[in-house]
Amino acid sequence: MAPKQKAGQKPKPNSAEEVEETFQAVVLADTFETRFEPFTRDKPRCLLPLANTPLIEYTLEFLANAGVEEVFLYGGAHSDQLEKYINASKWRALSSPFKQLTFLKSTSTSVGDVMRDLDGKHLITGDFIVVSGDVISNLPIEGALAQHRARRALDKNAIMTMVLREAGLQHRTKSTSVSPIFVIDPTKDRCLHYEEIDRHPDDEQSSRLNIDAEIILKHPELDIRQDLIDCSIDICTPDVLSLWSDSFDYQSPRKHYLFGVLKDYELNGKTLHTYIIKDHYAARVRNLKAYDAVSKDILSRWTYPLCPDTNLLPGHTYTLRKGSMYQETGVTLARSCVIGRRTVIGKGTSIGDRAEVHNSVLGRNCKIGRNVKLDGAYIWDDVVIGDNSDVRGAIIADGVVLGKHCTIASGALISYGVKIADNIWVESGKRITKTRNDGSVGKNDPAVVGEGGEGYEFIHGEEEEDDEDDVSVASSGLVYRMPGLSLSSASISTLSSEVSNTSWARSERSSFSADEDSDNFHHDASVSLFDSLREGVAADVVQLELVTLRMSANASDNQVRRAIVTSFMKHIQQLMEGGKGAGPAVLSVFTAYKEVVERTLFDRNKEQKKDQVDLLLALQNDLIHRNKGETVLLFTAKSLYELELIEEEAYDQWWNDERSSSTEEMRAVRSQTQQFVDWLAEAEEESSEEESEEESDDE
Amino acid sequence: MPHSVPVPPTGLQALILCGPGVSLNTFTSNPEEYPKCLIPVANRPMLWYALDWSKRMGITDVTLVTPPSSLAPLQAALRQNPHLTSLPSPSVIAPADLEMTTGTAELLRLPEVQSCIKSDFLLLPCDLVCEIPGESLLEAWMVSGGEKNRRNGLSMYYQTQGREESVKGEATDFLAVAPLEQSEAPTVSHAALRSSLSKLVLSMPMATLKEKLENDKGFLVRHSLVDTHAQVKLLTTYRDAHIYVLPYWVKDMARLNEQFQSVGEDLVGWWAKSEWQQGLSDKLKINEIFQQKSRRQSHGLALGESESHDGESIDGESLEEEIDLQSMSTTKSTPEKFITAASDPQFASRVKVPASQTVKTPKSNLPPMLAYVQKGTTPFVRRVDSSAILLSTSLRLAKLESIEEVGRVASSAFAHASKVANTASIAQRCTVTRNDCLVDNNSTVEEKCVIKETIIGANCHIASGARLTRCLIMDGAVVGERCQLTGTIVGRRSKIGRETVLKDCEVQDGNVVPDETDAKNEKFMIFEGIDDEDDMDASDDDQDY
Repeated sequence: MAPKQKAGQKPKPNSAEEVEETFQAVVLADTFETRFEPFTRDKPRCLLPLANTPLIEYTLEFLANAGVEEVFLYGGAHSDQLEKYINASKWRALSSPFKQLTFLKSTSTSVGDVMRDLDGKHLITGDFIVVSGDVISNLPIEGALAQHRARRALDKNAIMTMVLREAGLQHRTKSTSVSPIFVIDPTKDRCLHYEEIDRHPDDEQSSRLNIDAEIILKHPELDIRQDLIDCSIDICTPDVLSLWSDSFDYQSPRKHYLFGVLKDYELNGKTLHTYIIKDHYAARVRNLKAYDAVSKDILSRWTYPLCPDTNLLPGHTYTLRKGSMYQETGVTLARSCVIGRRTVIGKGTSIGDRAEVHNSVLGRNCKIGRNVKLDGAYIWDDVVIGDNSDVRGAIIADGVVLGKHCTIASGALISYGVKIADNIWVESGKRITKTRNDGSVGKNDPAVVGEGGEGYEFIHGEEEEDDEDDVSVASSGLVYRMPGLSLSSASISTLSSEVSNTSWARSERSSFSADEDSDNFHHDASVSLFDSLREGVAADVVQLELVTLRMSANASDNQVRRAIVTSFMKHIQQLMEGGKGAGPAVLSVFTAYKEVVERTLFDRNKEQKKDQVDLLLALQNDLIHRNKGETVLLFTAKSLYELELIEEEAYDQWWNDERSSSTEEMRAVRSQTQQFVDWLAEAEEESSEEESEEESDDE
Repeated sequence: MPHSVPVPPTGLQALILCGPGVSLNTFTSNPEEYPKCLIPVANRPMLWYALDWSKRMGITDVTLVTPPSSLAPLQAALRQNPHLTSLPSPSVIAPADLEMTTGTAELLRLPEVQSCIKSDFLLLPCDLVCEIPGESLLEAWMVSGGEKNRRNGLSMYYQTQGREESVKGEATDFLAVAPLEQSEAPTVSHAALRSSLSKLVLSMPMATLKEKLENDKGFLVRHSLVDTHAQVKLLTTYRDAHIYVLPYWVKDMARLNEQFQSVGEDLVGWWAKSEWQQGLSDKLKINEIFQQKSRRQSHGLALGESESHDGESIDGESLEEEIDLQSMSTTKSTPEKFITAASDPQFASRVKVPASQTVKTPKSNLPPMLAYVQKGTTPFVRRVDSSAILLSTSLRLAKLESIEEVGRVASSAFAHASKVANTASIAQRCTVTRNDCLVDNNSTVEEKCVIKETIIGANCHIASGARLTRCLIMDGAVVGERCQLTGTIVGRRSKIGRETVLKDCEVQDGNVVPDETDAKNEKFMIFEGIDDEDDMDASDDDQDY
């Protein structure tokens, strides 16, 4: 129902009525990371309970406070569950503050893909907010929004405002393994440089940040800030999306997008700004450590009004008691049990004699046995804990049954439905799950869960998760193990995702580092090529420059071709915007720089025209996102043929290559080229017929 | 601004470095006769401003350091110049090895200077014109903490751009500062000072920075800097005022580090760096100094063989006298335990330092170098280190209302008794705009002159029909009939021929400009050869004190 109405709401040509535009928000329910494994095997991350309320509730509440009218929710893994949840929630009810709540599914594997998808759908009509589905904030956004709009009115190129929370050098919701560094011009609130410090101890990356000399010399005052919590609340204009589309290799919103757009300032002329808040709460539950920290903040009411006793969910009946104790009605407490400070207990939960509960969150319908000790534990719904067990600083998911005399050491994660037999000691950092990656139930491992238990130890990569994101693959099995970490109750690292964090960071790096050079190469080469084209530098000079760059980065032919394609197409587009027709624009560029393209194709005499096909694919890929891409592709194909850069066979192979028709977009962009390929095929047939005739003549 | 408030002695001593003034070479070509510090700025010798400033902040122990070659003229001036004699006379030392090209840090290593430093000291250039109340600066420094014998340092920076007296292409310094933690910020009576104090973490002249940028292909920032300081501000349009309040132990640091050349770039620069860069304080032998100090204190031993017996006893005395002002302050509670509490951000319970960040340099070891970065453009601070600034500063000072006009209390510390000296004779039919001109004793201005925004020194003669706009005419100069001078500086005892038209020129001392000359942007000098050196910018000036 929603999408249909949407379709009618095409982006109008904005005239003076801009004031009327609805305020839209995009929620990225999946951030395409696997830091909440193994829980995320059963449930989408944004439905994981935080102080007994699913994460997504906090985010939507924040948006409602911000005055958002239309929400687009992007689901990732388990999107069916999320959709079901949303459809049943109050956000769909008549009383919902949102005029429109659209659930979008996509097959994306990164934030970048989502943004590009969004751009393709043309749903965004004006300024909008992007948040991830795990933001907890009580910030009223008006200030930031007003500033954004004022800036935008003055300068059309100010396309994005990031909301950042100022904190001290150390803060418990701050990520410790990767510190983001923002370089900001405080007089204009403009972000000029972004870099992340990877704190992995074995790190061999340079121990220095590198800020462009230009930036230093051009701005009399600059702030290097390391004390900002990036809660990923971005106020964007539609231009942000087109920039995502321009660079199809951007994946993450900060490391790639922010970094890249700032680097390319000379090219795109867009400026990104910051809005730094000093009060109000804003944090992201980005990993398990943050989960712990934010839970504590919620219990200590820093996030007010987003506290358990606000009862965000219908049916919740929490009341606040002395000492930050939150209890629902219908809790059964044994007379001799001790409930300490900072605890949340849900409806129907019973706690046995002499049990002690401190700093813990207990869901609904849990049965806590006698003499149980809970400290810093996060226990979700329907959990049964046997007598004399001891749980410290661990997360225990729905439906877990824990035997008697068990000890769960801190940092352990016990996923949905796991059963642990009596007298089991789960060492710290161990992760036990039942569900396999594909959703089926795994084989029980008595060594871990005891005789009669259900579940097995979860180790990353054990199941050949072939093409999940590279990130998850590399996260090692050691993840939540944390030897030598102080575990005082005051410490933030009771969950010790510290270690998880670092190993995650390492994995990310290892998966990206291989591409780093090439990324740089692609960037450098396309920028320099584009500049040369624009200035009309001679072909041999361009060629020389390209070779130099290529040598220094040790780039592959494929990368060179990609760089050529990106810069050529950008230039052609610019020519077209300048009033030139697609045909002449394409022809002039390729004629002038024929040599440059020719030098990247080495398969002239081979049967399989791999290089030529690759070039065509790169072209196709690039043109998906460009204006009149189909037309340009047709003309380019024609020009390349006329210039004898690409042979008939290559076109044939390309057309039949499954990559060229793998997605809807790819098919769409090549649709116009059909006629050309058909024509070619006919011509080819004729010629081959002629040849065969000749041959037969010879005989 | 009240300028004669009695201030109790501070126990500090001031060293004023009277150097050769490379960048003012039009007027300092012969430092043996006429050193830079005697060049008039708004009809007072440059040195007067530094001396007056020290006097107003209550420093009585002032030492001038000058190369032996300039000693004679300097002493003569101290005895004779009416402006200088009005101030308490400073002592003058002229270390034998001090040459015109000696760096400021090298200067500190000279035995004469070493023995002269007996307490915490203030290092001043002779070309400083500063309206900021020095006592507030000292107050800020004193309560800013640092344990006994481990005092902080303080340096001052001013904005060069957007000021009335700003000139094009002015030399600037690059500095990076980090905000003081709440508990560290001293409470000072002068409110503007308080908000402007921060920790210096990097400092170098812009020229050095540009060189670095070129070599490194970008600006490299060590991670340890951002780890130690979550907020670092980079500033590129400020200028180091070369006012340094330095604790006593810096004397040893200067002595032990032979590699230091200048105070501004090396000594202060390295000190600032060592606050966050690990291991640097060892390299700079700072730790060694502190160990030695504590040992010496407990055993009552001598500092070292190089120290004379005399210096030592005085030395001990001053150390004993040292009072922990910080602990006496009622508005400030800085015991370490409070620091941790206060620096904890607004979010609830104690936060433990994550394991990965425990590698931080222990802060307690090294007293920080503080920076006072002036916000806005008032009060007035300037270093007069080039001709253009000499002119613009003088003109700016000329606009101050005189004591005669507004009375002693309301007038600025730099105000003259009257705009036109009583002994000057100004003809009836000529125009002198009184609000922006100064005319000193015994000068004559003949009929039909038009004088606007101009400073005329003592014993000058301006012949009839001359038009002077934005000019600085030094003592004893003669300007011929119907001359038109704009933006020009005329040196002492020089003579401008009649009907000469000069625009933005400099005329050297004693030079004679022929009649009917027409010139623009020229320098009239006897030694044309020196002209090349003129392009050397003020960065030289930083090194050659």
